[in-house]
Amino acid sequence: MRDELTRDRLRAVMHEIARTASRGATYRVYFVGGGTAVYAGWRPSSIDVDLFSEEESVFRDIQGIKERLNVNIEFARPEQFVPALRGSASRHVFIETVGSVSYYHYDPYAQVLSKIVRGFERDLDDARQFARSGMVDTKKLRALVQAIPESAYARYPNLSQRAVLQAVDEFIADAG
Amino acid sequence: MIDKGLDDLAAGQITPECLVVSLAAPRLRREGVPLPQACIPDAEPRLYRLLEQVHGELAHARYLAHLRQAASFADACHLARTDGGRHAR
Repeated sequence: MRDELTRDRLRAVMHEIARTASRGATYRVYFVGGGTAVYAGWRPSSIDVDLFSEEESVFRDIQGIKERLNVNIEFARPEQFVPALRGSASRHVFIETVGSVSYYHYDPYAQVLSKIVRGFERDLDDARQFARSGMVDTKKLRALVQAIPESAYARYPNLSQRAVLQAVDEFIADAG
Repeated sequence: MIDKGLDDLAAGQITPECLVVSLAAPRLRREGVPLPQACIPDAEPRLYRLLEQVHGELAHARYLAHLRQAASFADACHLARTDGGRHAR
């Protein structure tokens, strides 16, 4: 039976990734979804931690880490589910550096958009926390989503620009 | 899966399907799926634990598959609603 991911276990994951990453390089690893929520203290635990890095060698022992710490790990980033937002790369939020690995929360605006679009109970809870915490300004979110070119939706046949904007507007109206 | 979840929810049975419906409730409502007002609380962890009892090491993979299936169903509902049902199957 796997343990739920608590903040302490998340920190253990961070240290294990840093300890086992290939030597001779520095890395960036991004938290997405439950990892950000648990690290920020918005909820006590998550079923898993979603991670992303452009350098796969940082995850070379991910199976071993999963087994040793008894947690679920998934590789994911918001752009798997929703179009990229302009300027996303400049909005990742630095957390801390452990060894050769620097950890970030993935762009909060991209995270919130993917959560609003999927729209499950916990997604919306997390999205509201992003707004309440000040990590996401809802007016800026609206502007960023509005600026997504229609051509970007070609890679997401399950979405439409109109539906995404409508979901964002409903979220903002509910969030007050 | 969603039909069974709705039936189980109405019958008061705790099954993976009704937990999926519960965790996806806001999105399903957004797409016009009629749901009872009260769904099952803490559906995500309960779904995972239930799957773990049945599938052991594969629980996480099955859990993610359930979430994808629910999202896909909601996407299909959206398309059916906004496209006059031309894509609905």
